This record gives sequence, C-alpha cells and structure tokens, in this order.
Amino acid sequence: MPLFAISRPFKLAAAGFTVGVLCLLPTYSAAQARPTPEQERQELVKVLQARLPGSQPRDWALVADALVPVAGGNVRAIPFNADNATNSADILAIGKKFWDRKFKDGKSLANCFPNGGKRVAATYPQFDAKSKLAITLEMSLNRCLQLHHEAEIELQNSSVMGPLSAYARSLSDGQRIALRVGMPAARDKLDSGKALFSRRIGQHNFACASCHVLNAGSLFAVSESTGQPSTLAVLSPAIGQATTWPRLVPGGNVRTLQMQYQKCMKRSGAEPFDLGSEELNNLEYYHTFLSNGMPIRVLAVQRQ
Amino acid sequence: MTRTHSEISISSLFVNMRHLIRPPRSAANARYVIGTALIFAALASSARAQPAAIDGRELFLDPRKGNCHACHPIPNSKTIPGAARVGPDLAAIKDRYRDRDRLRAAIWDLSLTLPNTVMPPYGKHRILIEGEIDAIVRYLETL
Repeated sequence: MPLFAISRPFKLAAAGFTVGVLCLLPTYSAAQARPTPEQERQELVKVLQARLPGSQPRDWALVADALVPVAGGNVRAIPFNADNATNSADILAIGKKFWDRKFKDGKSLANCFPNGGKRVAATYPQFDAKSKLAITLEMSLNRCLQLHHEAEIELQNSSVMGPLSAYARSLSDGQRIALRVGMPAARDKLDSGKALFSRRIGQHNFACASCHVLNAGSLFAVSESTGQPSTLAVLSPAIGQATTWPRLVPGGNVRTLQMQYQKCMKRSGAEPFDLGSEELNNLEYYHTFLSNGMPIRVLAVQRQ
Repeated sequence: MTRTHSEISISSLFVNMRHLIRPPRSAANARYVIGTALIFAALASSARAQPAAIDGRELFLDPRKGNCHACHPIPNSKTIPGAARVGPDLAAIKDRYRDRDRLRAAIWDLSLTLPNTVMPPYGKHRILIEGEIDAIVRYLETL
C-alpha cells in the first residue's frame, strides 16, 4: 500500500465535502451579492438624480417649489402661505385635543410612547418582532387605545385620525426619518412593499414607480372634466414624498399617506387595498424607508 | 352612444327578429320581407355611420377616456393647452408613426414595444373601444 494512499471512506468524505462546498458557494455568493436596503435606496437616489439633474434629494420633498426650474415649465406652485398655516394650526389643535384626552384609567396616548411621543414618529412604520408585521403610527395609536380599553379610531375617519396623526407627527417635526430594517422578517416586509410599489395595477396599468421613478419631475396636466382648464403639476420623486404626510387638501380635510395610496390606486383603475391592510402597511414601510435621513414636515404642503 | 353599444343593440335585435327572416312561403309575404330588409338596411347604414359620429377630439380631452393632453404636449394647438411633458409632442407624432397601423397599435398597447411606458394600454384594457381608438388616430392625424 502506497504511503499516501487515501482510504475509500476518506475519499467519499472528501468528495462529499467538496460537493457540499460547491453547493453552498452559490448560496453564499448570492447572499453576499444581495444589496442592503440602504444600498438599494442609494441606487434609486442615483436613478432619480439622473432624471432630475441639478437637484438634491433634500429638495425633492418640496416637489413643485424645488422642481420647477428642472422641469422647465410654467408650474403654479402652492406655497406654505398664511391661510394654509392657519388651517394647519387649526388641524394640529384638533389633533392635540385627541392626543391629550384622558382615558378612563387616567392615562393618555402620550403614555404609550417613549418620551411622551416626542421624536418617535420618524421611526414609523416599524417592524414589530412580536406580531411580525410592519406597524404604522396610526396602528400604534389604535393599539394604545385598545390597550387602555378605549374605542379605536377608524383609519378612514379623516376628521379624527387625520388631525391626530398630523399632531403625533408634529411632535417629531424636523426630525430625520430613521427607519430600521434589522431582521430578515423585516426585510421581507420591506421587499413586499417594494414589490407593490413596482407592480402595475388596474385598468390604466400604472405602478407607483411608473410616475414617481420613471417619470419623476415630468409635468402633467390635471383636469376634472372636459373643457375645464388644466392645472399643471410635477410628478414628484418617490424619495422625500413620505416626509410631508398627512397633508391638508382643499376643503380643510386631512389626508393620510395611505389615503393617498388609495387615491392613486383608484386613478390607476384598481380597487384599492383597505387602509391598515398588510399590503398598504408594507408599502408605507418601504415608501417611508426611501426617505430615510430626510426631515419630517407635517402639513407643510397643500396638495391639489 | 358608442359603437359597442350600437353593435350590442343590433345583435340583440337580430336575435329577437330571427323568426321574421324565415323563407317566404307565398307572395303575401313579399311585403313582409321587403319591410324586414328595409329595417336591416337602416340598421346597417346606422352602424356604418356610427364611427363618424365619434368625436376624436372629445375623446382626446375627456379625463375618463383618452385624457391624452394630461401627458403629451401639443405646442402648436390654439385650442388645447398642451404643456405636459410626460410623453412626446403629439403635433410631431405623424413623423414618428408614418404607418397608421403602428400608431393605432401604440395606442392599443404601447408596452408591447416600450415595456416601461406609463401610457395606459387603451385597447388591451378596454379604456377605449376599437372605434374610439380609430377616432383618436384620425384626430391625431389632424394635429
């Protein structure tokens, strides 16, 4: 027997080990190749910067004000004027009333959040490890009410949930959005939101990305009926959008981000998902993550 | 009244009147047959005339139909405010699509040739019926 002869069992073990390593290599390299959520976000920043040369991500949340010179058209921007400010103050006062209301057990909504609710909105939506769901700020408000045996507020109740959500966010006004995507289950929710963001839906076959990535910065004309004068508007870039919600809409109502998703889905000719559905929560999680690092501006933009 | 509605009403009439078009058995039926033929001739004539009644410009501007000016600029139009910049200039669309069938196909479903387009597939998803697409094509040729 040669000195370096290798026994048959050892040969089999070595072959098995080699096959195992070879099988694992693609998995390992695939795991290595998968960009982090932040890397994916930065890729999107590059795509949008290519579409909006000369602008910076910090400008994008202001939409028309910042993008008129880039789009090169005659856009009538809606500035943050005195009337709007008065409305905003009224809305926030209504929201504060609901925020401060004492529960039957003597507590209030502020008791359910760290730091009395100050500087927490920038972390919403957040992944809840216990329920393995992406939880929005509005859901957390309702969870608090439920915990203290109070009646929950319907998410579509724009005259109560709208101002309350706006007030809760105003406690974080100016704070930079800081969503975390830690565990793989959270990444799954983010990916699910991203998939919906990119999926074409409805009779008109639009995806969120169709307008707010591929055509971001373009001018489009809105007219309610034939013969009515059109209003020009800029298709806002996806990054920065989530910083300015809820928004005041004409008539003094407050529209939450998920209500706007529903409006867009209807515009695409699709039956919208319910407010608070897992689909819209994941979409809000991804969409808000895109604005990471950008400051919250509550009710700063009046949308037409 | 759209062409589809017209076609549906004609075909339903045809079903209801099927018993009327059996072969004549005697000369007494001749008047009956002539009457039936006249009705069908009138219906056929109305079906032929229907496409001309569809106003391409109206469809072009209607937010629930074409809504074309929402995305396309029409720089030289004196009547349509075309300042949008999502799609290409429609006044120059004749040069882009010299072949009428290609222009029609683009309106029917542009994603077949431009997968990332935001333009709705007007024909494939039945936002516009065939006669309405024809009317818009004719209107585009006048721009």
